[in-house]
Amino acid sequence: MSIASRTVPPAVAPPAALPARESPRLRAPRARRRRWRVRPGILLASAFLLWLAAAVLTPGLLAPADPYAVDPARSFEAPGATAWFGTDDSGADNYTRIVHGAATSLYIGVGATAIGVVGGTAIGLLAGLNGRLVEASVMRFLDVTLAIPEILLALVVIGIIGGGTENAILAIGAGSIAYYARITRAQTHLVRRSGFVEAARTLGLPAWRILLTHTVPNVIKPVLVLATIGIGSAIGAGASLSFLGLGTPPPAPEWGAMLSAGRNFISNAPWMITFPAAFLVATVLSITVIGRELRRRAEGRLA
Amino acid sequence: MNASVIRPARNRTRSGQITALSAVGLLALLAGCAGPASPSSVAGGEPVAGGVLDVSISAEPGCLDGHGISATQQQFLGRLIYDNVVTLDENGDIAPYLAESWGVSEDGRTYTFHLKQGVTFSDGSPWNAEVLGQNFEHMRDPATKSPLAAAYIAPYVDGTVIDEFTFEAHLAYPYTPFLYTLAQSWLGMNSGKAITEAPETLCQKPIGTGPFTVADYQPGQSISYTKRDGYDWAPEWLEGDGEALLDGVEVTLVSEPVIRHQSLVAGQYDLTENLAPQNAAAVQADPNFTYENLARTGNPYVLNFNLGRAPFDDLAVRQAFAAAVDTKAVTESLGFGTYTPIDGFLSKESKYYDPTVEGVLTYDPERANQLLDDAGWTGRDDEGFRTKDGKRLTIEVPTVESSTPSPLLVQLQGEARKVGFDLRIIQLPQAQLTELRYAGDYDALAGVWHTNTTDVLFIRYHSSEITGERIGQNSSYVNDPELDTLLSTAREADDGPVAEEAYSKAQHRLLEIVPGLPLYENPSQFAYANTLHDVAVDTSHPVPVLTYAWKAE
Repeated sequence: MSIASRTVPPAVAPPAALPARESPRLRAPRARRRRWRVRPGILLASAFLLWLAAAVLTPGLLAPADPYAVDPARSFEAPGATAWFGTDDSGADNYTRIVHGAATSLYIGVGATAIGVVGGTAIGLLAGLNGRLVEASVMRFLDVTLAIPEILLALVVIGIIGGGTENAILAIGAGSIAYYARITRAQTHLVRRSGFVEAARTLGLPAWRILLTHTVPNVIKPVLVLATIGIGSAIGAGASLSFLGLGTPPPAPEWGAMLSAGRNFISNAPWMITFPAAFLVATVLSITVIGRELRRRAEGRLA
Repeated sequence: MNASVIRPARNRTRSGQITALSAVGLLALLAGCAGPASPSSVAGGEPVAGGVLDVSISAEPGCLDGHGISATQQQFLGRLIYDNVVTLDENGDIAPYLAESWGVSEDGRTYTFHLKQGVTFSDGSPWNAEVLGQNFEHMRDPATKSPLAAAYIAPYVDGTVIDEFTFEAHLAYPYTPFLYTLAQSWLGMNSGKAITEAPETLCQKPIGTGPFTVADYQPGQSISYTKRDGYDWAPEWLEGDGEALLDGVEVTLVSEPVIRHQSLVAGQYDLTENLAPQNAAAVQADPNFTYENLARTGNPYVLNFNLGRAPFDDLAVRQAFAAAVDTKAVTESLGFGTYTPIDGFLSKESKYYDPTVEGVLTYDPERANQLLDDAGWTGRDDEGFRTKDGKRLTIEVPTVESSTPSPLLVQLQGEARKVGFDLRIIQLPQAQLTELRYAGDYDALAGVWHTNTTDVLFIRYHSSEITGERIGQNSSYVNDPELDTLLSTAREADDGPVAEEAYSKAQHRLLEIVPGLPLYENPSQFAYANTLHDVAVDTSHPVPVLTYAWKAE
């Protein structure tokens, strides 16, 4: 997931042997339709993200019960009218916990991505705007960092600073800095050599003004678009850490931690795993789908 | 102690084995290519020597020297490498092991052991009276940091080597459970040579007289055992002679219950020392596996309160907590029907268990609220927890860190919250937890203490067992003169009406003190593939003994 979503499609020339062009007669109605048709994937993803936003902002409205309430007498209840998604080993309601856990998962995803974007943009600009020596040393360091899988890097950071929600955010964010730094640096080079910066320089604008009004805004836009996709994989990474017991401590309703608690009862109460997993997958997928759409549109404009 | 429960399980599937082997033999004959048949297969259902047994365990003690640990797994692991001075026979009576016979003086303070001759340790050094004395010293050596063995032999004052194979142990007072404790895995005999030359290596490389020796130990991962050549001193109840049949035992730490179950079913392991309750029914229903569920004796699973500090120094708060938890529902949800709820501080299978303790501590949230109101915890903060003088009613319960939270603690947390307790689960690394535990820096600790004598009540709740110079297991910090007298009387009395009366009164006194919340009895649950035969069950703790177990291929 993360690898696929992170690979920026190379700007290759179209293959020599192109498929036969469709006749204009056939193409015409299609082009017209494209203007108003929204792809169903986008629609579904947006709908789910709306629900997610509601779960984050007003969880009490979607699930009024207390996510920490246990009832041992009702443990391992199968999904049904009294508990839509069943209950867990402590008799806590799965649906309630999933709704209330959305905030934590998103908090980790957005928080970690923010750290990655801010740190990565700073390093990328530093590398892209300075001399060869600085650039080469920063980039070689980033190459080494990129060689280590993101989750492994996060584990190293957790090993040093300890577990917990905030530390997990830091760890995942730190792990993604190199990725954003590389994109920023490439984009910086592109913008630096662009006509408008060249023109500004010719007009005698001071360097800091060019940087603030022309370079940075144009560098940051595509990075932000890519960051939306990054949120999805950061949520996945956060759940992985919680699953390993290094993220959000129990019994907080966090999806990864719920998966972790459920795995020992997989043959007795599979719903303890399936529901949090389904919501995790749906969230990551939705964010990625929307992120890709944003990128597709942005690329059209930037090319 | 209850002999009817801990009967060695053997020959369960031997008849099935005969059929299978005969079929293989017949097939080989028909095909006309008998080949170099192993001698054992010709013998049909006779035990087959050889092979390595793969075992999964749920936790690893971190040290293999029984004297230095109290880990439950030692019950099983210790039997592989150690022998004891005495053992319990199939009826639960003291029987010879490394001591052929023994005598107790009239006043009950001098024990004379006549030791078996010709026994050697795996480092070649001999077993004799001097070594027995060295073992007692090693157990109580402060450097051993013994959490169990030192407490069990605490009344031991000194010993005299009468001759090479006669040892006299002098006790401070008559201590009836002495021989029972000597039969337990943790008190297995270490090599005297190793104790003298390099006691610090015993954790990593323990040297015993047992049927197996440690070939390789990777802490936190695995322990490899190989058969001890020339072993010939198994206790009589094991019904075998000479060396072990298996070439070796490969023990691997598999901490995830679900993996222990799946890898057993998949055939990766032949035996699992600890089968989680949620998998019991599935394994029990599988004809290819043998599942055992055997009651343990001693102190059941209890959430022990720390009486040494607030808020559990207040009896009303302890009573309130005990009334706030629906222990029957907790037991049912955690044990999947394999756990037994318990109302007192002694397991039901223990000798001198008094059934009249049942029904005294009951689930009654209304009473819990009333007790807390009366004790002055009347305020409520913005999170709904009770307060008194602006201080929240907080209970800190440390536990070993793990990727899955202890479901028990999560349930206790939820139940206690309903009456206004803020129970905090503090996850810590094992070393830090141990430190905190013996420093008394906690409000409550969940745990069990399994042993083969009712003297467990002394070990758990007598004021002399509060950690001081020696590590003690009175983790509730109970210091009650009345209880002390009862437990001392019972400890010094011979088996009989005096001990019975004292133990009965002690059990009731504990219900008045409420040093903890009795939760449930968790039995020994293990399972193995039916290709494994003659797995015996230990007589001190119901765990598998592999000395004469064999594996049919």
